[in-house]
Amino acid sequence: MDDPAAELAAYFQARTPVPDEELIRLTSAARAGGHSWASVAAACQIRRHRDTEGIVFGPGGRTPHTGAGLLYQATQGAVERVTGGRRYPPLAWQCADCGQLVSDRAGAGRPIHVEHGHADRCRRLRRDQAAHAARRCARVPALVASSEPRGGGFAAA
Amino acid sequence: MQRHRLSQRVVDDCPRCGWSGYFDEYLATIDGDWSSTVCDNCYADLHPSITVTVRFFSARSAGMREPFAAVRERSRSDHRYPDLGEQLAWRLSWEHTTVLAEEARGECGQDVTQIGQDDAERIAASLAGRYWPPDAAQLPWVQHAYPP
Repeated sequence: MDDPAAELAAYFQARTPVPDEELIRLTSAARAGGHSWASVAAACQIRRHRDTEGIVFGPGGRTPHTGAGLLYQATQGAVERVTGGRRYPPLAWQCADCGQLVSDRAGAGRPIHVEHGHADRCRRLRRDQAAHAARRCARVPALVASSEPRGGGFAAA
Repeated sequence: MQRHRLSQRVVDDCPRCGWSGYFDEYLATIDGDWSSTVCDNCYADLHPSITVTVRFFSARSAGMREPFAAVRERSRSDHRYPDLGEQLAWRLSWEHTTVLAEEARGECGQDVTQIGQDDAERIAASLAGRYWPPDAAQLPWVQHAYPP
């Protein structure tokens, strides 16, 4: 199987525990290959905590959970256990465009704000950011119930 | 600038102040840009008839020399009470914290000390340097503990 996201999704479809080393390898390869944490989580059908139970170990914390956030936290826990290093280790992958080692600061957010270490003018980062902005422009207006007029007051949308 | 009422609360990030968490009721667009919607506190901050004041604190675990977080507390002239407080810790996002409420009740296990914005920015820069590649220190809300 060439697609690491599909390979990881196979564990979730079979409800089979993912070894820590395998979780780290597959998520890192998926990120390096152009996947977002959200797209990997979607491939694995992770939407809420119970989707991870018995498959990956222990995502938790106070931050409200999304599928991407759960997968990110589970991978962070795996790195912590495998390396025996500090808590909340950075999740790093090699960017194929700029060749730099990139650290993901979170599982979701604007790529320009959460992917650290890209070279200046990295095409992958620009492409990811543009795609993220386009998704926001399609998704966010649909979350609005009503809008105030510009400059004050309140009126139905 | 235009404020919008949400049909339900959503989890999002504010690219202006670095808040990360629930947007409970509102978000705002600037120049109609839906790709960079800001939080309601930034709406208040930019609104000419709302005054926002901010206090900063450091939070340090007992026995530790370095603070683990900078904390900020906003007061808005259109709100009766200050907010609960937000902390910036290793994750480099401003997130809800209960340390100020615990401190007010005398139940806080951490050492919470009021500091200036410069000190809060020194804590933020230190956290960025300790945990992340150098460009993380360039995040707007790490450079400025409150938007200029």
